[in-house]
Amino acid sequence: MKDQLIALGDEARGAIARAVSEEELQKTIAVFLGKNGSITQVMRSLKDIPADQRKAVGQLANELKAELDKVAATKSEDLLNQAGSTGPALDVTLPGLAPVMGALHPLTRMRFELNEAFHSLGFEVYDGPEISSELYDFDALNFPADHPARESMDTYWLKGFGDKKGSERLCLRPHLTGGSVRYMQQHKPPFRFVYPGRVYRNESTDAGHERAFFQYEALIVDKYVPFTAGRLLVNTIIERVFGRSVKTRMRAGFFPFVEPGFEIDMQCLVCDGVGCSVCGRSGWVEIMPGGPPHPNVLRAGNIDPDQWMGFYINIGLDRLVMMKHAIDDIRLLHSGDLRFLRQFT
Amino acid sequence: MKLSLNWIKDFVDLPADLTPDQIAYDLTMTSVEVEGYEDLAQQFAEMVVGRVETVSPHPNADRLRLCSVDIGAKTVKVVCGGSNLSAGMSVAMALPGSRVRWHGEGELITLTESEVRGEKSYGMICGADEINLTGRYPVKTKNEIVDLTALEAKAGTPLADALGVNDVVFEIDNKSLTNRPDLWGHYGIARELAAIYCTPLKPIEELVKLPEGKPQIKIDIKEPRLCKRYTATSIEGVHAGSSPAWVQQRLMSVGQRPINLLVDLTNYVMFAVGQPTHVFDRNDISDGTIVVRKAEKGETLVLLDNRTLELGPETLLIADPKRALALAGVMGGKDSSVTDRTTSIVLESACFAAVETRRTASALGIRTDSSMRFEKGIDCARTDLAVRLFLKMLKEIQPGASVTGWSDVYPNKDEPVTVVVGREFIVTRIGKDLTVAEIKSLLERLGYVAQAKGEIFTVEVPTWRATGDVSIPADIVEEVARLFGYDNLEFVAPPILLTGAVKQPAHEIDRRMREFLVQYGRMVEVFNYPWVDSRYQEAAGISGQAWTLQDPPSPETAEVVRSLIPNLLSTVERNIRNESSFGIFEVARVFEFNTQKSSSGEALPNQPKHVGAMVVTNSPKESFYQLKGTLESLFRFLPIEPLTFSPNGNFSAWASENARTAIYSGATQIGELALVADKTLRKSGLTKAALAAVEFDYDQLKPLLATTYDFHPIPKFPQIRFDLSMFFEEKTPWDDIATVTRSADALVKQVSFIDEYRGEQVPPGKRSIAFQFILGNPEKTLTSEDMQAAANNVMTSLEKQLGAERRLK
Repeated sequence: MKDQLIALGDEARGAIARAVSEEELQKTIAVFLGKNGSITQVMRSLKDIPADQRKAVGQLANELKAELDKVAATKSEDLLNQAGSTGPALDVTLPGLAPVMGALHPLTRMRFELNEAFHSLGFEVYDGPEISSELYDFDALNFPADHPARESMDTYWLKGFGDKKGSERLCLRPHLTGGSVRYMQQHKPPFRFVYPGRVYRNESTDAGHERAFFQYEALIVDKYVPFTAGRLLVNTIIERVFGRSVKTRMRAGFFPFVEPGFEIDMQCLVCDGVGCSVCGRSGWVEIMPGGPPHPNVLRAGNIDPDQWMGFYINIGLDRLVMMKHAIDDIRLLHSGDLRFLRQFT
Repeated sequence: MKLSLNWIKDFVDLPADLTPDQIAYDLTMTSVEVEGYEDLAQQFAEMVVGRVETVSPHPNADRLRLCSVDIGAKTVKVVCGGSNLSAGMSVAMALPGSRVRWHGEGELITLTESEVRGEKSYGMICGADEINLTGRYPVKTKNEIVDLTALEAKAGTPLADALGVNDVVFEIDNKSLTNRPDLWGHYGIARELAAIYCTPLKPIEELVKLPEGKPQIKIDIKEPRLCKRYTATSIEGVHAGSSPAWVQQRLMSVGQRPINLLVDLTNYVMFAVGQPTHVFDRNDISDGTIVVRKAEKGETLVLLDNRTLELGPETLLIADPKRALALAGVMGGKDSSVTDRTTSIVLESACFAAVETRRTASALGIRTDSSMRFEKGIDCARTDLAVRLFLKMLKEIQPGASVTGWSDVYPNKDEPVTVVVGREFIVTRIGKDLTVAEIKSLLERLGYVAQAKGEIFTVEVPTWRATGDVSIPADIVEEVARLFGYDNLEFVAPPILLTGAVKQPAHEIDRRMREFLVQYGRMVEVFNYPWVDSRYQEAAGISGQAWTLQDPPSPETAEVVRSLIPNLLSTVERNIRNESSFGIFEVARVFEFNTQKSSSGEALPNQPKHVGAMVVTNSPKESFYQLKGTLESLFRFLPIEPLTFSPNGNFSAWASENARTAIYSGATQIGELALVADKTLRKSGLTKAALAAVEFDYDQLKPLLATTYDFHPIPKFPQIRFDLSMFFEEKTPWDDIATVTRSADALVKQVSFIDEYRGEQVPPGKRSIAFQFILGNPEKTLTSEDMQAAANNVMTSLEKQLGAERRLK
């Protein structure tokens, strides 16, 4: 019986080695080790042999079975490794089944990016009314009584308020800064907030001018906010938006609501400051006004200008978006043209 | 505003190695925005004065001639068609390599040595329109060439030198000068450059003495608030004629056309010191009296440009006792202006109020170089400067002219402006630790007189800045900082007060919402204007009162939006030509026609933020359910307090009765979702579009601080899915079917819709609805008897409660 086992073992090893497919291998295993397999039958007949031989033969049978299981597993692994893929090959150059997406407006995307950047610097987001009054949009901002911007040529006044003044004369907000005075009135310093929103100007439109555009205002009021801090703030934000270090410069500018006023430029990204048609050959692109709020503006916000300092910037989002994506016509931003908007998926 | 570098150099010695680029940069950083500059000589590169030696006929062309022209270094052959060509004439020779405009048309081209009808031509003899000289040499006859003989320049002289245009002209952005009345002339800019480069200014004050004659003109200022000072210098023995070439060149370099000597001198003075002046013919001033008064009702004046003006009572006039002579600070009158025969003049140099000059100019629609300067606020000291410079120029050009009288009425003296400010105040705002001496020196370079007592400065503001914007300590900070150089400041982080993380759920869900609509709703975000075209307003049936704009972009777009739907309809209409299936959304404020008074006295309308969205597909059903499904998922995702849909609510006219549902937050309706009604589609030019739309009030959403999902334990025993299809009355809503199914048996865990069907095997007036429910028991494994019993309960309940019919297999 021992000899029979050894012979069956040899036979099984040979058969396993000869198997060319997993299917054949499984059949072979069944022939020897299955329910009615030849080795199984031998093991089943162990009980018929004399007790003194039983132990040795039994051990041999168990060892053989374990060995064959192992050989079969190795063979199965080998077959798997050798086998190629089944079924017809796929054209891997065909496009995948991509989920269809819409598109976030590039202005919104830029706004969210800025929100994130300011958020990390501890700024909160503010939102104010779009129909506002002369009181906040001009009086509170140190605009002289006869300032041309108060006239209809620049501001969209609502009809029926022609003879009214101040809080009773309503308009579509021409800038966000009036809203910032609302914030100041509602909060005690120190504070820092950003104020994104759309503003309206009565202008004729062309590739560089729109009647509706987005501003992004930021204001810090604290005990100590020197110009040097303002410079750093500006640089940090621009770097965040463009994802790399961009040179900026602060120069003299005039706005009634800041004192002193700055024009803040960044190096033209199209030509890297060499000078091109986008930047009017100057190498610089004007991106925002800024500066400490004029003492009269702080006063309008119920803040004592002798106690507190501030720094304000007001980013023209449309210009920034145009710069970032090399868009040559501002009117596309309000066109609602999906051929344009889908490019920002 | 244009600025000539040569002119600036009259008043200041600039470092020799200073380039125009550097000047432009430094002025921009410190004072005003330089938009660019032009090197005037550049356009005359490779052009010289040529002397025509001989002129002979061209063998192959009747209209052309062959010339030999002396160009200094040599004599060259040139073909020319000039009608006024003659031997001995000095001409503008454009040599090969120069750039000209052929016959005054088209783009500039670069000349090469060439052949014209078989004859060699070395460059060309130019007409004025070919080299941009028509301003100075108007073309009188066809094919005329520029005659430069009068310049008496040697042959070979570079043309730019001969014309005196070796200059650089800067272009300044006028907007950046709004608060700087002192910079509206070359002298002011020179003063600024002298401060920047620490180099001395050559003061005009010392050029010539003020006249000392007796008053010859009586001056009567009726409006001392509007005319702070008026001077009249009487001058005899002048003759108008034309100005010398160098005066003309100066004026042309800054874009001013020369007219005659006297007018040119007033312009020259204005561009030099920024003070407008005016010259009257002495004989036109009755009684030798000038009255500064407001116009009378119905009074008229003929201006220099021949326009007749009806004057309003607010207009300030220069008049004599009989009639109006000029619009104060804006423009002179025709009748009192100098003519060829004028020999005796009165020079006006005066100071008019800024605000009123601007009002007059804009009310009459006449904005002149003069009014532009007065409206910035000119100081009275400048009145003198203008007179001094005018007299200096006149004496040089016409030594025979003599001053015979000088009247100066100065009822309203400028008060000196003084600002007291501490060093501490200045350095904490700049963020740079400057010493008392440093600050003093910076201020003095700009013409301030700064007395320091300890660390406190008493700063006297120079007259030329005192009428602008320098009056408070913050202004002094600016002066110090800008001259120190903003570029020289370091970057310093502001101290941060740690106040805890900013958490603003309302802003967070705004972002989550837009990103969801884009990524899962497959929609494109659009922005529309806050005003709306009446056509779409009407199509959407938005009626009732709305805010309107006083000066709308166009007559049709006067109304301010009360709903986002009309503008979205227009957006769909514009895009449907390009795409047949798409979704769009907008988040924007709408403006209700009401007001709420606040404590500040302001009465603003309620202006909630709305969300509007539209979906176009191939079928109304698909559009509607796609949009509804997007919203259902969105509301779960945000997270906000749950919203519900109900067919009961208030609906807009655009919402089709066939498919509309209201959106509720608790018991408050916050929006509506519907197919767009046929009549709205037709009026919007969208006939047959399968368009679904939604609008809801974002401000009514109640954000939750965190997503809160209820956890349901994972079933321990297997659950069974059971599909069922039954006939229902058309009017039976799915909501009812789901409710009945859910309560039909305790084993029913979930109910979900599969599809609906109307067709051949379905009785008329009914629809077949296929749905699935899940059966499960948390205590044990279901047997097939359990399942069958539960399914029977569901079917029986639906039959009894909703009249459902089983489908016959």
